[in-house]
Amino acid sequence: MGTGTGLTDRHDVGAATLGRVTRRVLDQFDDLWSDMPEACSVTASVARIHCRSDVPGYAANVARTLANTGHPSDPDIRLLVIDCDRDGRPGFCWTDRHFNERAIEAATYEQPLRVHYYSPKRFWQIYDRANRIGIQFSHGAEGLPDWDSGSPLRNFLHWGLGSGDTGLIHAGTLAHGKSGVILAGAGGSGKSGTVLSGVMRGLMTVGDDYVLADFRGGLKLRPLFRSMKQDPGGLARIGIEPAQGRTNWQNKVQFLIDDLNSEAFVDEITPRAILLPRISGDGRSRISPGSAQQAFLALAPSGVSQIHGDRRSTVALAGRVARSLPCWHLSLGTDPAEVTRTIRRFLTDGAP
Amino acid sequence: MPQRFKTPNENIVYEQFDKDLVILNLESGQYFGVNEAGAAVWLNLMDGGAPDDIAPTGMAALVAGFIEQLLGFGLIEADAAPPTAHALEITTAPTIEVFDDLSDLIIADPIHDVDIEAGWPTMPEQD
Repeated sequence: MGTGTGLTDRHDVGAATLGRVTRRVLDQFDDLWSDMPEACSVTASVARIHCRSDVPGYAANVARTLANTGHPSDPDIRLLVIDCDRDGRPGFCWTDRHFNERAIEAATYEQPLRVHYYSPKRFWQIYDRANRIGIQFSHGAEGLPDWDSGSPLRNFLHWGLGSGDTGLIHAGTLAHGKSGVILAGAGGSGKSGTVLSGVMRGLMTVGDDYVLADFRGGLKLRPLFRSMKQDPGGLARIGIEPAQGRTNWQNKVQFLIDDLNSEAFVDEITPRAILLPRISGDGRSRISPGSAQQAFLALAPSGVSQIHGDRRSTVALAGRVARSLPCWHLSLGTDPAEVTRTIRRFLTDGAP
Repeated sequence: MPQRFKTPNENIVYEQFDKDLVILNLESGQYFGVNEAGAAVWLNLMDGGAPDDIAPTGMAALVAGFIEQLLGFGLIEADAAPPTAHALEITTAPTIEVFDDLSDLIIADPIHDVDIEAGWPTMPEQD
């Protein structure tokens, strides 16, 4: 057991053998690629992503959710999404007593290999940075992590698009023309509501949750996903009544930015500042100086918790972004229209 | 004899902002704010120096105490290699503050227990 190479073999892996076994599976990539029934090709800002899958509807969701805009300058990426429950495929079996993702990450950091394993769903992602190919193994109709539908292939995008000068950051964005701001903060800070309100009132965005920071030729933010999510109360505050029964695992409504404003989604923003929103309960919004350290602490922890397998790069990128831009606290007023006017004024007139 | 130090593993990462420094322990979820003098000592350590040995007059004990704190927090460990000489110019005491308010975010990736017999890894049943 564990010596085969196809999907019908069980691949026993442990810390000592993960690299070798994973390489053996990745070596079969081209044969597996030709067998996959569903396919889509989309542009993720700087690279074309080709995805094939036998998970029903997966490729269609990738085509719908990824930004599919930009000017690819990097080599293409091919990703296979495999349902291990089909045709009796046992997939990977972790044989050590513990799976320590940090130890795996440390062991593979200097290699082209990246690995993520989410045990509650028995969900694996393996990626070869050198050959720009990856395989995702899930397990049955309910086998995908809850967040996958809104940001499918997220780790692959970070691993594939990330370099010394590029990578995913966990942040929202708003812009007036091409000039924009990064909105960084933990859940509940008002980040998504601020983006949503801005998009509804004519500001632009390259995304709410995950965007590509690209330092090549000066820092630019580029879109990766068209999806947004917001709780029903947040939608109600800006005048949207969501259809019943459409909430996700966080009891949030998931939708596409295009659904709100088809003109709002742009393919590039030049950021001028990092804003750290905070729900204040005050009547008016206020902008006050923040520090690079505060910006870093708003960007890095949520990044390392949500973008797996490459945390040192995520931390370093967050630090570089934080050092590159002035940081301001944004104390959010209670009127979404007033919040948007405050950000628009900040973008057109500069800091208060 | 001067002692050289290093970070114990890849879970200790740091970023410098202006003159200050933030150190993250990705394993414990703690982060540390280091003042300008502490940042100078830390960067000296990371460059292979032995800053308590070359600290300015009157500062050696403060630097040694700071290094003891770094050891206590698990941010550094002894390195057998000989130290290299780097100048250290500080005029105030190095300080470090520890915070754990973001630890839930930073350590959201636990070590998973697995069940070999299940064929795929699974979370162990709760007692």
